[in-house]
Amino acid sequence: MSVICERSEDGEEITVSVEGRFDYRLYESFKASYSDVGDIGRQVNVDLSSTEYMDSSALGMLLMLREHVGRAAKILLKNPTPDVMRVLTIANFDKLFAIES
Amino acid sequence: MSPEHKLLDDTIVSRIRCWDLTADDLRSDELVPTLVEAVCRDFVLDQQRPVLYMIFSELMSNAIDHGVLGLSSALKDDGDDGFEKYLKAREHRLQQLLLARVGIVVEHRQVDGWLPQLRITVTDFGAGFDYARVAREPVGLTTLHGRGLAILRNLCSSVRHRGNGNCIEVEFLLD
Repeated sequence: MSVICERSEDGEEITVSVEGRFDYRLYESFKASYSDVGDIGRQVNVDLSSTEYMDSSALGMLLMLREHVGRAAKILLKNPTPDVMRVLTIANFDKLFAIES
Repeated sequence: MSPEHKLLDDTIVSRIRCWDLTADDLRSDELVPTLVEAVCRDFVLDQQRPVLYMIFSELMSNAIDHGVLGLSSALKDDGDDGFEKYLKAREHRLQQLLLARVGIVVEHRQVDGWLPQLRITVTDFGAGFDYARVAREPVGLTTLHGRGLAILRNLCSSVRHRGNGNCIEVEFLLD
């Protein structure tokens, strides 16, 4: 499990990739990955292509990201696996976030 | 004979696995993966692994956070740093924990004419909660608490609380 954060060259986009288990243990590193977004980026991509599992605390962390970013930037959840997509749909997150497969 | 009895008579439980978890087990970050791997191995499941992972995550966090540690989920929505306060309180209480017990029973059940199912029962020996009241509360789309049970209800074919709420029994169809 890990969080990898990359910034595009123009600084407009931040991509946060969550590998393995996305749960409460990632809280600190996930939060740190977007802490300066409001000042510099316009878009935050959360790459879920390598996320194997997700629990309800991961959903909570996505909500906190949404809260933090506010209107300053767009959030895009990218490439969730079918199982992760299932959890996102159950939580109605497809109505709260833009999801790109 | 009533239909219930007939149902009971026709149910074949082909395998049971039980765990009796101690405070040290509950402190482990590897608890959920360990349980899921053991269930997948014992019950010869593979493609259900991700869904079982989510089910066990919710079952164990409910049992540990609320049953054993007595934490209230409402703390998560208490101010801007509610979630952080919740996680810190959880970590602190978990480290202080001396005696605790959580029981898990996993059964492979087959009822005549139905898909085989896995029944998972988790008992935390805590104070329980008013599950009828919680079931009536609407889950806010953007609140940080109250999502765990909704996930369980969607992933499982049946979710039932027993006793004073300290025991939960879920059934999961194996298709």
